[in-house]
Amino acid sequence: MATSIPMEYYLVLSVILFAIGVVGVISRKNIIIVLMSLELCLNAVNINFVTFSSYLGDMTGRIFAIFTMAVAAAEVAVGLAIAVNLFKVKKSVIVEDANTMKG
Amino acid sequence: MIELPNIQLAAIYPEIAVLLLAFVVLAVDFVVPANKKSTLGYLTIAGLVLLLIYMPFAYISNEATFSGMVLSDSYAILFEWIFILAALFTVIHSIHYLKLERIRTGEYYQFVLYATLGMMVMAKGNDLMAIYVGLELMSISLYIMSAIGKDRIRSTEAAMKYLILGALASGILLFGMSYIYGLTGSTNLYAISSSLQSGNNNFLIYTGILLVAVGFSFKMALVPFHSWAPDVYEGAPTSVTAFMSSGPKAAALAIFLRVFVESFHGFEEQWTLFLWFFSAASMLFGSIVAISQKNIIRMLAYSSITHAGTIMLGLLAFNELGIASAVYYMMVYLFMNMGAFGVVIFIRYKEDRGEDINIFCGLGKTHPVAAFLLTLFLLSLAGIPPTGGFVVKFYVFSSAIQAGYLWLVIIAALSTVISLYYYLRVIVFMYMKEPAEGQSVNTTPLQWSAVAISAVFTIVMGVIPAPFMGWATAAVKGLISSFHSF
Repeated sequence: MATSIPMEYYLVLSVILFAIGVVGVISRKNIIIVLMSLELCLNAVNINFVTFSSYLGDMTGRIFAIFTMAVAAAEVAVGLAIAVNLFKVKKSVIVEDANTMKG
Repeated sequence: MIELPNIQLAAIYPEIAVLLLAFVVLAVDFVVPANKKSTLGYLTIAGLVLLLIYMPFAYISNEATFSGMVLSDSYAILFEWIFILAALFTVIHSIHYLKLERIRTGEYYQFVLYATLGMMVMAKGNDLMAIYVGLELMSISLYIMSAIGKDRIRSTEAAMKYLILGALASGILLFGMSYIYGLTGSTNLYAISSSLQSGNNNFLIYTGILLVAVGFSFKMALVPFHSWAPDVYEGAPTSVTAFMSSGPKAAALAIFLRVFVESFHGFEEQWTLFLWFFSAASMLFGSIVAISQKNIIRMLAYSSITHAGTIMLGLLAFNELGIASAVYYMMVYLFMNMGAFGVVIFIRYKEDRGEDINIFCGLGKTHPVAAFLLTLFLLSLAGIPPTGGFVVKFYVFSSAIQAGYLWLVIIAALSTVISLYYYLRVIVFMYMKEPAEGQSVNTTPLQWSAVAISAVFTIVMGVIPAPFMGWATAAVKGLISSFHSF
């Protein structure tokens, strides 16, 4: 167990990663990069879970992290499929080109 | 030697049944030719009806099983009724609609079932992990369902928006859950509750609760996390929209109430601050923006945002009447919303679906029965007696006044008055204007009967609310008995 490094370090790292992910989702134009940013958010969460799990000496967090990874993989698979579909109908994977509906 | 946890298999019989049904539909899908996919729809209907017959005998217990993961109490069972009915109505409305829209994918029916399974897991989940997995199963199925529309551009765009924002909301929810796990040392709702009650008040707990509330609010489409709803509702096939606006909303309410009442009740003062804002903003924004909508599906989307805000009054009131009436509201909302979408689904404009409000002009003369039913559902959504929509609003408002939320009730009343305008506008169009060109009704007897059942329940729940309210009150007793401040 990495007791020599204080828990705060991990938590701050995960907050920074999560913030980068959220900013990426909001500001990037390419859908592929948006999906990558989403993965970054979920990995920040995993760092949180594993850190807490390790410091609490409780396995639940690690199991939760594995569940998160599995679900994230499914989510991205569907996301990429939709991105491929979007490219077929729009000939572009830029978020701003998906603007048919307004109001 | 590993000690095996206590497992009560009967607690998940309905979930097992839905999963088996989905697998049967998957297997039959391989042998059914492409032009006969409606067989799968009838198969799904038969399975869901059998499940409804089983539901009164479902296992009910206040003891959590599967190591505290699953809690099959009467509250979960009540919500499962709502989910199964939502799925059943959706499939009934889908079969003919999919043919008209030339959507020939047999997977459609499976995804309805997988989404239903996800919602059922959410309602029965007594652990953040189970709730999260159920929520994702529901969401991912819905992303796929909203992508299979005939209008490929709008449908794909809707699915993309839904997926990006939905996944971001799940990320935020998970981030909140990780803090709650870290500070309480458990993901079990009861364990979280007892840890929080023993004076655990690190500031990160507030962050965790806020993030979890944001994640749940997104799934309920509360302002300011509503921006996906109108676009997704418009772009997705209308039958999917009908499903999305009733089932998943009920599931989101189920976990909202369960997590906030069972686990976070000690922090009521803190979370009411931002839920107050979410609720008031949803009621005002939803009703004001709906006025300018020309597309009836978008209008119903904003109306669903308004209703979500009104339902939150029940949780904010945080007394037995409030929580029970929020649940009762959801029961009525299922029928009136499914009914309204049921009618909208079978109004066609030439070869296309009838979305524009002008297509509904003169429907009272050309198709009096459809116009009458739509009028009934819109009046119920607006909250006019003697429909169910009036009774639930009355219950929710009175619980909020009891709890001292006078301003919020004034905002709610204001939003109800504003919303009257756009509901009545459709009714005026249907009865006062000349029939629109190209408008037609294309439906089946099965769809008529589903809409008629919705109409009957909308009225019955308004005229004799006592048995339904009694059921809801009995169901939430278990939730609020987990603490004793009442």
